[in-house]
Amino acid sequence: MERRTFTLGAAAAATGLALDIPVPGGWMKALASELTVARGDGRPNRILVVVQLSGGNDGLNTVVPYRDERYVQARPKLKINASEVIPFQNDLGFHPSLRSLESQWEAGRFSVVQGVGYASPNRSHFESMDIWHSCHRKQDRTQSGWIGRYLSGCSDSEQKDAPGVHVGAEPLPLALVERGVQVPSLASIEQMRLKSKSKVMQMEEDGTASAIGSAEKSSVGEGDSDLLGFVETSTSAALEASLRLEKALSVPDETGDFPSSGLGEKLKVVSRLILAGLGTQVYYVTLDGFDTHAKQAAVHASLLRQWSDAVSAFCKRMQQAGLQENVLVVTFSEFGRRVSENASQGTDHGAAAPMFLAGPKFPAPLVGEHPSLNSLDDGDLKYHIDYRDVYAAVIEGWLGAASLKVLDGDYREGAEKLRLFG
Amino acid sequence: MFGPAKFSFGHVFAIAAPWLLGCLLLPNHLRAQETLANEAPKVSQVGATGDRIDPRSWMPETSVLYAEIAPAGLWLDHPMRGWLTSTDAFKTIWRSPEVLKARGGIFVAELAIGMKLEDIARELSEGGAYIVIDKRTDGMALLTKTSSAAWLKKYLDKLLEVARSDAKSKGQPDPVKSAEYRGVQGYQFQNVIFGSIDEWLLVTNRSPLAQAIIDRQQDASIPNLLDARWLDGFQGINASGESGSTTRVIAVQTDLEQIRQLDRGNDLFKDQAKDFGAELILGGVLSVLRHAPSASGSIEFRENGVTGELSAPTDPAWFGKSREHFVGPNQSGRAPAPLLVANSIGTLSAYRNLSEMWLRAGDLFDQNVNDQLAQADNTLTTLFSGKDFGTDILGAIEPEVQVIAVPQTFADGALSPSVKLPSFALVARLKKPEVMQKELKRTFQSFLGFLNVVGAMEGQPQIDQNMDLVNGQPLFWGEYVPDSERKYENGLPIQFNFSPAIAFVGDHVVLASHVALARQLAEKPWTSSSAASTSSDANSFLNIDFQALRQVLESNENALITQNMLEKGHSKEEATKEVGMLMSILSLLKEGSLRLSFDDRTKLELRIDAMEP
Amino acid sequence: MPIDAKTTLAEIDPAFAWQKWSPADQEPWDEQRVRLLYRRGAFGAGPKEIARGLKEGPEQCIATLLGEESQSTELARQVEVFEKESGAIAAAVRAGGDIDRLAAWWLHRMLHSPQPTLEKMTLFWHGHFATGADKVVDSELMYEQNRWLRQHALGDFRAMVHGISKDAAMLLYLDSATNRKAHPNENYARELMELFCLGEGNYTEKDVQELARCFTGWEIRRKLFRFNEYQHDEGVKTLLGRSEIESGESAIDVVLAQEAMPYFVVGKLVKFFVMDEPQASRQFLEPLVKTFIASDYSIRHVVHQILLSNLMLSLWSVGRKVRSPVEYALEIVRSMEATANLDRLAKMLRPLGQALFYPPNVKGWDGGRAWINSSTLIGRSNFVVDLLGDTNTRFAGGSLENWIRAQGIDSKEAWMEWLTKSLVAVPIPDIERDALQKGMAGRTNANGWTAPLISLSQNPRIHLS
Repeated sequence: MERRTFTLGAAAAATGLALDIPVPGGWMKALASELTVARGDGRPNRILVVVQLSGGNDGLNTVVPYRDERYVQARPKLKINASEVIPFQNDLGFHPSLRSLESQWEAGRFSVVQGVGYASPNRSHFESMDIWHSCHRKQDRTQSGWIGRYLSGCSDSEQKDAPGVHVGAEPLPLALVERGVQVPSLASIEQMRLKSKSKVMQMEEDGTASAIGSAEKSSVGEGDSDLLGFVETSTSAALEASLRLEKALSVPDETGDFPSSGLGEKLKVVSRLILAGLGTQVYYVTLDGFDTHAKQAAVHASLLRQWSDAVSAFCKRMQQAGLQENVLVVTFSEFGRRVSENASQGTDHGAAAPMFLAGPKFPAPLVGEHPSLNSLDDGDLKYHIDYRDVYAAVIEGWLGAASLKVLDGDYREGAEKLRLFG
Repeated sequence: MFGPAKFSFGHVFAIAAPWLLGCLLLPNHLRAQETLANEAPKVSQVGATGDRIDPRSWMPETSVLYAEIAPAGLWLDHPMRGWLTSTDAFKTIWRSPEVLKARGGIFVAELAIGMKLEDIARELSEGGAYIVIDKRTDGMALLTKTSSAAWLKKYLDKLLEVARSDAKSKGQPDPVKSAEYRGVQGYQFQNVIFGSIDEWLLVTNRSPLAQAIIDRQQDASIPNLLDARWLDGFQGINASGESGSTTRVIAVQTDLEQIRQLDRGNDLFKDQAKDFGAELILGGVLSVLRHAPSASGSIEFRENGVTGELSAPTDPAWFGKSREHFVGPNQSGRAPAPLLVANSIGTLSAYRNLSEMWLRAGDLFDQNVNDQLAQADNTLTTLFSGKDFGTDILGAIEPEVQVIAVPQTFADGALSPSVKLPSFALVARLKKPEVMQKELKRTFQSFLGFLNVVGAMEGQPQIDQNMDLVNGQPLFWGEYVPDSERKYENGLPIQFNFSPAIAFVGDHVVLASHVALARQLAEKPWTSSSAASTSSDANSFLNIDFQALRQVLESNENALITQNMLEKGHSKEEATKEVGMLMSILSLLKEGSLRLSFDDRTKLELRIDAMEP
Repeated sequence: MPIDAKTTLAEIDPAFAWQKWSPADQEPWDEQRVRLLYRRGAFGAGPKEIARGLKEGPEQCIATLLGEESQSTELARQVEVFEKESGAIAAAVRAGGDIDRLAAWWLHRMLHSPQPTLEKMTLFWHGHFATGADKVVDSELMYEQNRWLRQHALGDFRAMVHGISKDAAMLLYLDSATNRKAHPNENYARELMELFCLGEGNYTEKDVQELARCFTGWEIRRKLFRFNEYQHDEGVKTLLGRSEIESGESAIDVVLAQEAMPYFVVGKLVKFFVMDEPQASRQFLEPLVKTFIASDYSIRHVVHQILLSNLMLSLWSVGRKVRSPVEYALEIVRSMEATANLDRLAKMLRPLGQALFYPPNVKGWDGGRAWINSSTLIGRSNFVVDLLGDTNTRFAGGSLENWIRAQGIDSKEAWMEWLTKSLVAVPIPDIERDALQKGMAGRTNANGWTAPLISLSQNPRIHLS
């Protein structure tokens, strides 16, 4: 039953039926979401993909106030010229490396939240990243991360897939840590593929996973606990997930334009896990290298291109599968960089910076104001949107959960004002 | 399936293995005493008579690789063999369980056939062995000229009899299929097809190839391998030896043009290197592989060692500007003469314009590598306190560079690192010594400072900075300071192998991992090592002293044994044995060199000298 | 009063549960029980250990596992040889400073130590006093902590707590390297009570603050513990109802003297050795707590009593634990007398969810059902494929086929029988047995011997202990 619906979904995707069609009315939206649910498997209706840019992304050269005289003065060597930027509005333009995201922007599926940060910014990579991950300034309590806390709040004993997945070989980010929550780190898609497939092939032939689990229950642990029943259903779920993944992998990737960069590979893995119908709700990936103290121009351009190419390829893949309203990509960095460039043609650690959202249709493409270059805080841009307001908006407005405990504070009012989602 | 993408040494080896094994494994005293004791070595018949058959005339013109292997007798009677089998190291290996097991198998086979493996190898290849890989039939064939048609027939009959009686005893059907083609009787056993043509033995994996060879043997008018242009200039096993000091035992030539076509889709013959390291090592060679019509290789025995060579015809135009950093302007780049350093493990000297390569990276690599390089550039420039890595740091030195490795000695009783690494030094000439000395000195000092700051954050030992004048020129170095509060009961951490140093010697800069080596190089006037004669006119040159290498490994024997235990799950006894075996093998070798040169041919020459008999 | 698999915990008399088990006609000392003890008390057993255990009888078998002092001088000699060998590996590994290598060193101990329960308990304490190398980074500190845990793993619990409270790796991991009187750091104070000694509900927030004040001046400088008396809060502190607390050490004693302490520690040991679910009541733990207190908090005494108890050896406990990844991997290796690339083995544990020296957080591995999800289950099957596919994996020094033949196994069916008997704790129903046989069908090549094991790796029952 589930398998059949999955095949339908895949066929629809393959024939291009589900390509990026703007969703005009509520009824179609409802239909789309119903289709997604009917596609069976355990895939949640709303999925969050977090992209972390490690090292401190230069927000000022990502969303560029290219006509601002003060910008030109502060960045004699690193400024992006008017002829290079991708202008959009209010004298603002994107770094030319964001070219591939332009179509998402035009479709209203890419949004910028400007001037995000927090009070008394910490300029250490580790500490600021910890603040973004844990939502705590001072660790008065052994650490846990906001996503970890979110996942622990929605733990579901029926859920056999990991609630969150970190794709990458680096250590598990603190954001995903919480007691009682196991978030696996997948160094590659191979970690989710069975090396010995004879059993799943058998399941495919028999049309069911009943080779296991349906047998007579043994009497182990009856009354007290049913560990055997638990491992049986879990094994069925794992074999089914692996089977679906094999099917998803066997469908050629028509878009085929995931860049071969590190982030491209990671988001490709995420897209495949989503298409395989995994029950995972949050995916987390990172792109490192944004600590551009010297000779920033080339490396920053290259990093931004890797990011935008990978994110836009990912969005296209989701659109192709008809999941564009179900998957949200949120990009952040631990801080921006100083307004004035340094003597090594680079920039040093700064404060407020933009966050980026991609995926579904957004009510407003540009949220908040570009931080003023007139009023700086010790040479840094001032924040005017607290990062936890954005988290709260994502938790309440996208994931449909309560944010109070997750964020250890009430940021609902700020979140409300942002109006990130419809 | 024998697909086109599967050409490999594995195939060559599978066919050549029986007598290669025999040659390598059978020591003199195990040779068949009864027959060969008084017999003089037989003279190779190839080229000996007027009606000599060139095996190429039987082979199809669509072949892409042709190889000749000298008669087994030549291998077996080489003077090195007597010495080799008399060494302790060989005896250790000879009695190791693995070899004993193989010997048992050979013994059983010998019993079954009723002949010693060594004798079979001698008889079977008395006139040499010839291998061909054919593109049209997707096949590979081996032709050997045996001692006589009568002997060959007897041998084949015996072989068939053994195979059949073995099957019969197991209740299996006849495992050998036979068929006739133009009067030649062919047999098939599993995937191997074989048969005899007079005194020639033919072995192949494809029957169309067998037919093609028989066709050409019977009809000289069919185009054959003698017509193949890519085989022009081929030097067979009989080509050398005028000097008498070397014996050519393997000669091979291949049609690169065809191989490139077969490889299409794979990236083996792409002009672009996969990464910076590959370009650094192989860059110029990639240009040649991409254009050269053919490539040849050979292995020669010398009185006391082995020489191998790979070469290909070369046109300067192939390098263009983009590989000038590798071959130099008009291929004029030459490796500097290796310096004489007492007890050195080896020297790598080469012509590499690193700065040019760094700055040219945009053309040399794909986007991915360039993205990584852009990040590395950012990091390195930060590390070198704002100096541009490509222009200021790499650009400070001339392209003739060498790296010297020396084992370190630690005083007895004093605290020493538990893993003992050799020390290394990079030697290069400065472009503007008077300016660059100061620049580099400052960069070096701030680099050490940087290490201290990072080390302090990570709780690593700190570096003490020192300076001295040697022969009137400055020597700067850093020294790790043991933490007085720590006990170091297991010896010092690995960092204590390093005492980074920079010295200026004349207009040269010496950058060493340990001050002792830098000082050694700064104190005495430089002379070239004995390897200099071999290295002249080379683009890159590596020489290794195996005994010095052994010394380094021996001082780390415990670490090697531990590593073996963890990596292979071996018990301590097994690990000790295996490491001992490695040492035994090294004890047989004296020195080795690898030389890369560009001229009208690109040549890669490997030379290994054994210890004196 | 026999306990069978259907008996609920509430129905079992605590006194009987923890009494010493004795063989009877209905409940003989048999292979199944030896295997159970080796699974829970060690990391599985090969045929020789099983045979020895059968011969030894229950008490001697447990004494062997625990390396009891009353053991022969032969054991003392084995321990000496082993410690020398392990020490040499440790020295080389520490010189390199690679934490993955350190994990390989520990795996070597788990596989080869003549005192396997000691290693198992060290693993228990590693999860109890969880400290992650991802944050500590320094392999030397991780090694020192591991050594401390092993030294006290079966000793006096109070001594262990005192030591771990000054352990550099622990305090660095908990961001407690500094603790000044102006800003008492509550991290360690909280975890000491919540996770290490008492459990939630046995202290108040006020106690956390007061205990933190007791620890002011406790610092880690240059990776060593030191007491900075100038940063110690000399004021009056009231902790858990006691007010004359002179030092951090005496504060730890106050915590250790709490009534809740033995129940908390013993409860965790019961969960570790006997059953993941359900949680035992205080009343049920009472007999063990008595032992713990009477023996001056000797861990060895409690572990000994648990292993030799009716609850354990009546087989009620069979199938009541989910195998941890380390148990799963090593039991497969040990049961077939295998040796393997230990560096790789250490890395292969990561996708299974239990990388040594990298517990997920200060609470350690949750264990039980938390070990199991789609990705770890796929990982467990892939582990077997990778292990068998590695050319470094050998079985008693040779090939799998030779090893199987040496056991007198001559058919695939017999091999499957052996595997299910050795690796599967709970009986496999016939219908699944057929499915397993079906999975092996048509594999007659040399790899045919690996097929049953791979097939078994995808059967849910292999995950229960």
